[in-house]
Amino acid sequence: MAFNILIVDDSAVMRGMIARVVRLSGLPLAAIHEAGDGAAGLAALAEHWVDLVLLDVNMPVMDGEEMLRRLRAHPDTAATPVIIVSTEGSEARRAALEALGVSFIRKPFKPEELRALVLQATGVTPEDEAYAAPHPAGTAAAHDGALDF
Amino acid sequence: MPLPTPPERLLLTTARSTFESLALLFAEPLAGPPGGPLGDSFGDPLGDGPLGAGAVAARVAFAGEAAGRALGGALTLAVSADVAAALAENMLGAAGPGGPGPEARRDAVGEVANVVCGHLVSAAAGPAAVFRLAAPAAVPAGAPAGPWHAWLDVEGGRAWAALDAPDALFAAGATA
Repeated sequence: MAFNILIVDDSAVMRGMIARVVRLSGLPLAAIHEAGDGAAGLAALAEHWVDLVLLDVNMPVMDGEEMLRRLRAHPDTAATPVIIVSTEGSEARRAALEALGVSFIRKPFKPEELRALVLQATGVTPEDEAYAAPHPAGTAAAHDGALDF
Repeated sequence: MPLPTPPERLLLTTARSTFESLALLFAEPLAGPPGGPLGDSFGDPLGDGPLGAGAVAARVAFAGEAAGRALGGALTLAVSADVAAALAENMLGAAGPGGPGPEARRDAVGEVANVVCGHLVSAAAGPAAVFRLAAPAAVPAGAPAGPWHAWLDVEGGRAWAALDAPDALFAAGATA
C-alpha cells in the first residue's frame, strides 16, 4: 500500500520537518496533507482519504487531544491510526494519550523510528507495502465529503 | 569560564542534544557575557546585544505538577541570525535563494525552544511529573530570564538559553 498521511502541527517548520522525515523513512507514499491545528485537521480528514494522522498536542484553536476525541467519536474515523508527535516526557500524560488508542513518538525522532511505528500503528507489514490498496482503517471521508465532527 | 551549576549543565546538555538531533547543528559550551543578551528587561534589545542584528528569541512557558507541588516557569532561547537561518534551513532541508524568511526562522527557533523545554522539564522533574507546555511565543517585555543561563557556540554562531524555574523543579526530579 502507499500511505496517505496527514500531519497536524501549528509550526510550519515542524510540519515541513516531519514531512521530510516521512519521505526519508522509505515508506511508500501516496500523499502528505498538512493542517495547522485540530480544526483544520478535521477539515482535512473530511476532504482526503487518510491512512494515518501524525498529530501534535499543543496547538491553538483546537489542540491535539480535542481533535483526537472528535476523531474517535466519529464512526468513520474512530479506527483511524494516530501517532502523537510531541515533546511530552511525562509517563502519566503519555499513558493517558495511549489510552485513547494512539501511538506516541517524541520529538525529535529518526526516519527509521517513524517507519517502524507507522507500520506498527497501521498494522501494515513490509510485505503489504507492495500492494497499492488503501488501508481499511483509513478515513472514508473522501467518498462523499460528508464527515461532520 | 565558571563551572555551570547542575541546572545549567542540564540546560547545556539538553540544548546541545536538541540542536544536533533536530537540526544537525553542533553546539559547544561558551563563556558569554553575564546576564545574557537581553539585558534586565526583555524588549527589543537583541540588535544591540552580543547576538548581533537579526537575532531571534522565543520563550516557552510551562506549568504542571511534580512531587505534589504546582510548578511553573519558562525556557527562553535566543540565537544569532546565522544560527536562526541554519536552524530553519536544516529543519526544512531546503536552502533556497536567500534562505528561509523571517517567519520560518522565528518558527524554527520556537520549535527548538519547545523541544529543549519539554526534554529539560521532564529530565529535571522526572517522568512522573505532569507538565503542559505553552506554544512558543515572542519574549514579552519585562519577562524574567531566570536564574540559570547557558551560552553556546553553534558552528560559529551564538545561542543563549535561560531557564526561569524554581529550585523545586529539580528537587522534584531528585525525589522521583
